[in-house]
Amino acid sequence: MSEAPPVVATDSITVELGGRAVLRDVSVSVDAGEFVALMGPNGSGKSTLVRAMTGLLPTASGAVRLFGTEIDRFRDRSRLGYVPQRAGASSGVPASVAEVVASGRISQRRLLRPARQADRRAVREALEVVGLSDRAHDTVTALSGGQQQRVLIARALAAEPDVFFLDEPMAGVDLPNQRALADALGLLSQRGATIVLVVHEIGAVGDLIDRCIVMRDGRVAYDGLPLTELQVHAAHLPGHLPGHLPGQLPGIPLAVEEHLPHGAEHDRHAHHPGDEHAHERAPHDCPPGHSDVAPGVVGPLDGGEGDRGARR
Amino acid sequence: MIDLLGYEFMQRALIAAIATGIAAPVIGTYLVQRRLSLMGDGIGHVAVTGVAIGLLTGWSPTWTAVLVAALGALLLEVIRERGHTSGDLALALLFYGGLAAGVMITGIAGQNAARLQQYLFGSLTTISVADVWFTMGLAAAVVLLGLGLSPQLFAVAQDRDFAVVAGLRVRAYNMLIAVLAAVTVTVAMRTVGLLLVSALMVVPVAASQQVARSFRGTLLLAMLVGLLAGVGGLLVSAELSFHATVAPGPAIVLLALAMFVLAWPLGAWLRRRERGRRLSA
Repeated sequence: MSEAPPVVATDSITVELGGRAVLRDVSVSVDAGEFVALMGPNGSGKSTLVRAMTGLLPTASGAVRLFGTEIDRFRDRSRLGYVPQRAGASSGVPASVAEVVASGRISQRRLLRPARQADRRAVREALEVVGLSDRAHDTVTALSGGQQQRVLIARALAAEPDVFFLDEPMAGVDLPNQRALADALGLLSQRGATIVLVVHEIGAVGDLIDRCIVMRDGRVAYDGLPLTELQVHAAHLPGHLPGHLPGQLPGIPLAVEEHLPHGAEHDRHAHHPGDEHAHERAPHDCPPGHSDVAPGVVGPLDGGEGDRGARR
Repeated sequence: MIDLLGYEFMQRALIAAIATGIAAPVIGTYLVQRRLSLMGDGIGHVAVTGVAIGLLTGWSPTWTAVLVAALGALLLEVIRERGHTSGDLALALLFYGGLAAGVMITGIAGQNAARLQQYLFGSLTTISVADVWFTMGLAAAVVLLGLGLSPQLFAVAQDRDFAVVAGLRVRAYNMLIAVLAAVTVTVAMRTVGLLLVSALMVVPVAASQQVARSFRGTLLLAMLVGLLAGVGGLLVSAELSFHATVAPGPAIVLLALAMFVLAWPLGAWLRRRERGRRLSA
C-alpha cells in the first residue's frame, strides 16, 4: 500500500438495528482506485455496510474512517458519491432530470447563492457520462426504472466525488440499462474513481471488478479477487468455501462445484430464464491474469480478452 | 369593481390577498413534495388554539397564533422524525386537540363564536393597517427563504439519505419547513381562514404540477395560480357581497380548485402528446 490512507476503512464495526446486530466485527478497507463488488444474499448486511460507510447508520462499536478521517469529523462531503437503493427517483412534485442531477452539487453550493458556471458544467457532464443528455428537461418519472437509476448515478457524479457507493443500482433494471450503467461505471473507474458497488449478480460489471467482498450473516465471508457467480454462492453458504476467512486469497484454491448442491438457492437469483446458464459459464469475473485462482472455470473461456487485464 | 377598490379596506384586503396568494404555494410545494399535503391543515387547527389564547390574554391573536402554530409544527416534525407514531396519526391528534382547545379557550375568554369565525374562515375586509404590514413582512420572509434555499430544501425532501451523505443538516431544514409552514398558516389566516389555509398552500401546487415538468416550474406556476386565486377570489366575493354575505376565503379556494379542474385535462393531454413524441422518436 502507498502512504495514502485507504479511501474507506471500517475497523471491526458492529451495527445494530432494533437491538439486533446486523453487522458483526466487520473490518474492510478499500484503497484509492479500487473497484469493489460487495455481494451476499439478502439480509447478509451488504447494504448495511455501505450505509455504515457513508455515515447513514451509526456504529455500535468500531470505527469508520473516510480518507483517513474519523467519519464524525469528516467534512469533505463532496468527495463522497452515494447512490441509494431504490426503485425510482420520484417525489410528490415533478422534478426534471436536470434538477435531480443538480441536487448532487448541493455540498458545493453556497447558501442563498445561484448556481455557478462550474455547477452547470458538472451537471452537463454527469448527464453525458450516463447518456441522458437528451432527457435533461424531462420529468424524472417519465423515464424507465433503469434510466431513473442512471439519473441517480449522474446525481452522485455531479459532485465530482473521489469515491462512489452504489447500493444495488442494478436491481430491477433491464439488460440494456444494466449495460449502460456498467459502461458509466467503467468510465468512472478508468478516470481513477474508487467504486464500492453492492450487487446481487455480477452480471454486466464482471469485467470491471478488481475485488469481491462477500457478506454472510453480518460478517465478511470472503474478501479477495473476483469470484464467479457460482463461487459467490458457495462463499455465502456455510462450509462450502474452504477456510472462508477474509483476506486469505488468492492462496486458497476456490473449489467450484459444477454440480451445485445448492442449486435451488441459485435458481432463485436467476432472473433471466434462458440467459442464466450462459451467465454462469461466462468468464465474466476474473481478469485473465487471475485465472489461476480458479483454474478450469475461468481459464479456458477467457483467452484473448486481454483488454480486461490491462486495467490493473 | 373600480369603485370597490376605492375603499381603503378593500385596498388593504387586496394587498393581503396578493401576499398570501404568492407565499402560501411556496411552502405548499415543499409540503406536497414531502407528501405532507395535510400538514398545513394540522398546523391551522393548532393555530386556532393560538388565536384563542390571544383572545383570552388580550395579546395580539396573530402573534400568539404564529407562536403556537410554530410550536405545533415543530412537535409534529419531532413526532414524525422519531417515528413513534405515524405522521398520519400525529396529524390527527394535532387536528382535534388544536381545534377543541381553541374553541374551549375562546369560550372561557368570554368571546362569542363570531369572533373566532373571523379567523376560521378569514375576514379580509376587517384587516387593520398593522395586519397588512405583518402579512407582507411574513410573506416576504417565506418567499425569500423558500426560493433562496430551494436547492437545499429540494435536495432534503427529494432524497433524505442522499442529503445526509452530502452533509446537509437535514434536521434543521425539516424544522425550517415546519416553522415556515406555521408562519404561512398565520399569514393566510386573515385571508382564507385557518380551516381553508391548507387549500391555498396545496391546491395551487396540485393545479400547476399538472402542466409543469420541473420542480422550479411547479413552484413558480403555483405562485401564479395562488396570486390569481387570491385576487380573483377577493374580487368575486366583494362583487357578490352586494347580494349575499360571501367570505373571501371560500371564494379564493374554489377559484384555485377551478384552476386545478382546468389544468387536469390539459396536463393529461400534454403528457400523452409527450409520450407519443417519445415513441415516434
